Amino acid sequence: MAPAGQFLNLNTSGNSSPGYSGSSGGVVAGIDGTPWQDVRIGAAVGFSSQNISATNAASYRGNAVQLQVYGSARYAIAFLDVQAGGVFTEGTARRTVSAYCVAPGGDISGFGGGASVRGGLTSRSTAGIWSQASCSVVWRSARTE
Amino acid sequence: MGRLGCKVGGGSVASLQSLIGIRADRRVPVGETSTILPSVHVGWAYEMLDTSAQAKAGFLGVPGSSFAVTTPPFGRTSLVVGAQGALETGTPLQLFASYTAALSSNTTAQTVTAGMRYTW
Repeated sequence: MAPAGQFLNLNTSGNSSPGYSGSSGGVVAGIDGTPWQDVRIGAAVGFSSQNISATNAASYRGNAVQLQVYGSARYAIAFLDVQAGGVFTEGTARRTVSAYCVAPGGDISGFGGGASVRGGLTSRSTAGIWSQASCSVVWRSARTE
Repeated sequence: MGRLGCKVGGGSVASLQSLIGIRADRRVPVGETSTILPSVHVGWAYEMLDTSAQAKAGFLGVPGSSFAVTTPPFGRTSLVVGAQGALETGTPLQLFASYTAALSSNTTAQTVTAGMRYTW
């Protein structure tokens, strides 16, 4: 079980789009087991709350529920980790329009999915330091309605 | 300030990111039964798909008022650095905490995680 928090800051770049900053916090709980030696599989569920604010006073507040399954395998010095999951989000986006003195807002719901594969090698030095080199590919997709 | 209804249209965003990295950690005995496992990691990430997201919206009751909002693009490449610590208590309970930062040309994303693992 793990609480988690994330803080994001995106500065304005060359175009006219405003930058934004955001934060999210939540909790994840999972359970896993080792059905075979050097193989671990598990599942987790998470809940998080997001808050994003743009420099033009636009904002988004919402919540997300995530489901995830994962597994890992070890063979000698090699390892392979895989995971896949889905997320459902619901929130409200708002944008201040100064000229008309209004703050239009709308509800947003969305869903997404993702998967990742990570593999690598692990070695131990004579000084007792474990080093690990890995390569991973993460795919994510999200859609709002 | 008044309130005005807004209908937010659908949109989608996709990401395919590769990450190459290295990690180092060491077990440090503390007392007779406990062990601390500090670790550090560094990596290089590359985003192969979308670097910005777009949403379409319009004011309720105002035909033809639809507009699109696009986020500024974030960098395709980023440097990922972080540190983690775990405490093995000599019991089925293990505590851990980690910090990771992903730094690109105009984006900073920081993630803090703490938790506990119970093994039976």
